Amino acid sequence: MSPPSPSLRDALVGSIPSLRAFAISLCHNRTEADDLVQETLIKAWNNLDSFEEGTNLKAWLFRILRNNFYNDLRKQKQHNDYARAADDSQLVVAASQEKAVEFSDLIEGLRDLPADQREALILVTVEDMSYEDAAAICDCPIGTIKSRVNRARARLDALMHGVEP
Amino acid sequence: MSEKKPGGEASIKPLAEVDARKPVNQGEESAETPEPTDPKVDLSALGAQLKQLYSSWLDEPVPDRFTKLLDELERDERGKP
Repeated sequence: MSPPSPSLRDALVGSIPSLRAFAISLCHNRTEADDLVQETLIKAWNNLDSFEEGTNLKAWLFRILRNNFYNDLRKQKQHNDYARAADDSQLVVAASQEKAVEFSDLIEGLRDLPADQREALILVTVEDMSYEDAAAICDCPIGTIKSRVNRARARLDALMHGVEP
Repeated sequence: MSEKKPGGEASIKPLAEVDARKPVNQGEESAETPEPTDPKVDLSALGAQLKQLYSSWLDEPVPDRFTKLLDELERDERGKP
């Protein structure tokens, strides 16, 4: 394998904040999130040959990260309810105590969402990924992503405004 | 915090379920009925709040371990015949 071009390495470095943020949204735990990012970077590095330059690097990396997350979870828990399993970890989410208070309802709401809805919501609404990229990352049809995003939004909206969905 | 040895045999699992060759853009439309509302158009206060929360994670300084890791991987790569 040839070493990656400097621009690809820079792009990898540049994607680390996004990878961490996505990992935190999956794990709710910084230590686990950072381990996950580390695993992802190593795996990506060793498979850079299979990345087509010019395509969406972030989506490719997110896909690796997400797969790692679920593989690890499967190994750890041997359990089918990934959403619950993920939510068992501590809520160490907001950057500061101040943010933690400001966003406590939202953080709690996110934690209570089923994992598949949460990741779809983050990818589309927050990361501004296309439905196509989000579907490729989550390995499901585009229509499924759309309905997960809508259900997640409805649920969170209801929760934040104290209305039953 | 447990540092995994980068590049070590044990720390690297096979890319079991990630078929990295699969193009990310598949471009095929799903046969499922489209949802009536497009969340991208209807970016409510909720979306804005989510973005703020997410930015607070994005803006955190990148831990040194990651740049060190990439340096190490790069060194390993150069060391190969």
